[in-house]
Amino acid sequence: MISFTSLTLPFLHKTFQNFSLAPENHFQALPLWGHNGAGKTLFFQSLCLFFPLQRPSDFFVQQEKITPQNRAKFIAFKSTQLPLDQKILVEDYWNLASYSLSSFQKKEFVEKKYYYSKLFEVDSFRKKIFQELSEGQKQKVDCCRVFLQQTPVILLDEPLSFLDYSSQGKFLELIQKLAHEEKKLILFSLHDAYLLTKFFSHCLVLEQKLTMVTKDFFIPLL
Amino acid sequence: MDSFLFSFPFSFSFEIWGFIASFFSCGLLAISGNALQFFFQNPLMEPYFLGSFSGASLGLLIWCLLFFWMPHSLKLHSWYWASSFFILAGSLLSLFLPLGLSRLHPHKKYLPLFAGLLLIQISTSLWQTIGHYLPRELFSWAMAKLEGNFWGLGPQEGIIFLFFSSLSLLGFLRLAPALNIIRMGDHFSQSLGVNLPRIQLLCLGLVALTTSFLAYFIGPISFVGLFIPHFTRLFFPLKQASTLLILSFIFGGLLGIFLAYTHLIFSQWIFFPLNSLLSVFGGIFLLFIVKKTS
Repeated sequence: MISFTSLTLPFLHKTFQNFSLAPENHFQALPLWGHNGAGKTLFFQSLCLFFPLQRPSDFFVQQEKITPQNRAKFIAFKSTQLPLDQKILVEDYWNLASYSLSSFQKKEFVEKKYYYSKLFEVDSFRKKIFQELSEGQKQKVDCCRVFLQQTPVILLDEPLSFLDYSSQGKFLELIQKLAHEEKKLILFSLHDAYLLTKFFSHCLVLEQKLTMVTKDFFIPLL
Repeated sequence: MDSFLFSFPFSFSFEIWGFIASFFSCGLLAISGNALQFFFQNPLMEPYFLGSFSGASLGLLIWCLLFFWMPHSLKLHSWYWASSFFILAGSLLSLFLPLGLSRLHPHKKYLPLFAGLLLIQISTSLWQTIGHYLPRELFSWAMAKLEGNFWGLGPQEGIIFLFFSSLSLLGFLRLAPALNIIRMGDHFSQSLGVNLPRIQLLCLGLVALTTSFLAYFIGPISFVGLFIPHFTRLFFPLKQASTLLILSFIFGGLLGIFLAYTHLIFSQWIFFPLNSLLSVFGGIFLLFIVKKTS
């Protein structure tokens, strides 16, 4: 679903060559594992073309060429940074996601808003001010906003931070379900080896190389 | 601007054009200030601080110096239109500095403000040093031109002013959805697919054109672009950018009408420079912003 010939992480100067997610990994939620400072956030930001690619013409999502101009139609990104101006109603915050949608997608945006807000259990915050929510609630609201962008690839940077333990399990089950049902690839960073082995069979490890490993790799860590 | 471009069939009274000029000029300054504050995520941004009006006054100074050294035969033909042209050119050219700096360093959002403040300083210093060597009449005339005057528009200039104002207003409203996202931060707007360099060029370009034609038609007006957006957000903190831009325009326009009539009434009895009054209010308001943001 995602492929590129060369991707260099800025500041860390790591280069990943000929990356392509194998066909059996399509449409699934895939954790990204790496120690602190390994470059997970930079990897996500580079996939979002925040930094210039060496060969941008060789960057594909679902066999379509991605340019900085149309990237938001293919890849949605939830950063660890929350919005600067948080004096905004949660519903208005979700409405921002409609900026890059096509006119056809905009027609179903209201329905999608109800659908995802119910799934993420944030529909009761609709009329609340973003600033007044707890950090965990903000995290869920932000994840809901990312799904509203209706892209085939979703990148979530530290989506489990501030969530309580039961919510973390629910959240991972939910994104697995959504990835299968809606045929999305959801890449997200994860630091908990127990959750990883409990919910996932594969994981993408980012160290000096970017490699796909099975859950056996993580059992010694537990 | 005594040369009429075309004949206008209706005759509007002096008061109607003054009313329109004051409403649109202050409304547009407020909307420009709001757009700049959204874009730069900086509560101190306003068109005056970008140096546009200082550029206008520098343009006027250059014209005054040229005029001073000009042969007498040329002076009679170049009095009014040439001064306006220099004001427009100075104002437009001055915005190349903040625009260029922000293009070179798009993430250093304080640079255009520094460049603008530098221009204000240069313009003030030059007027203080060179201005006093000019003949007294010329100096007083130039100072009056830099005071801001809502009551100088005739029907022909008024129509052109109205046309440009409407275009500028539409331009800002067109930018509103992007500004709504940009105020959330650079990473956020990049992730939602906002083309930041393009919006930056459009936003600063629109502010440059708007303030330039306001300097040309009305003269420099300070601080309106600073306090009206804050005032609007104080009363409507949760509104979207498009609504806030429209509300800023309306509140700015109402302030403009108030200022225009206050200026008209008081200037019958006393010397009442509009910008001096605004600077006093602006100074107090700056303290309020510093207190609020700290």
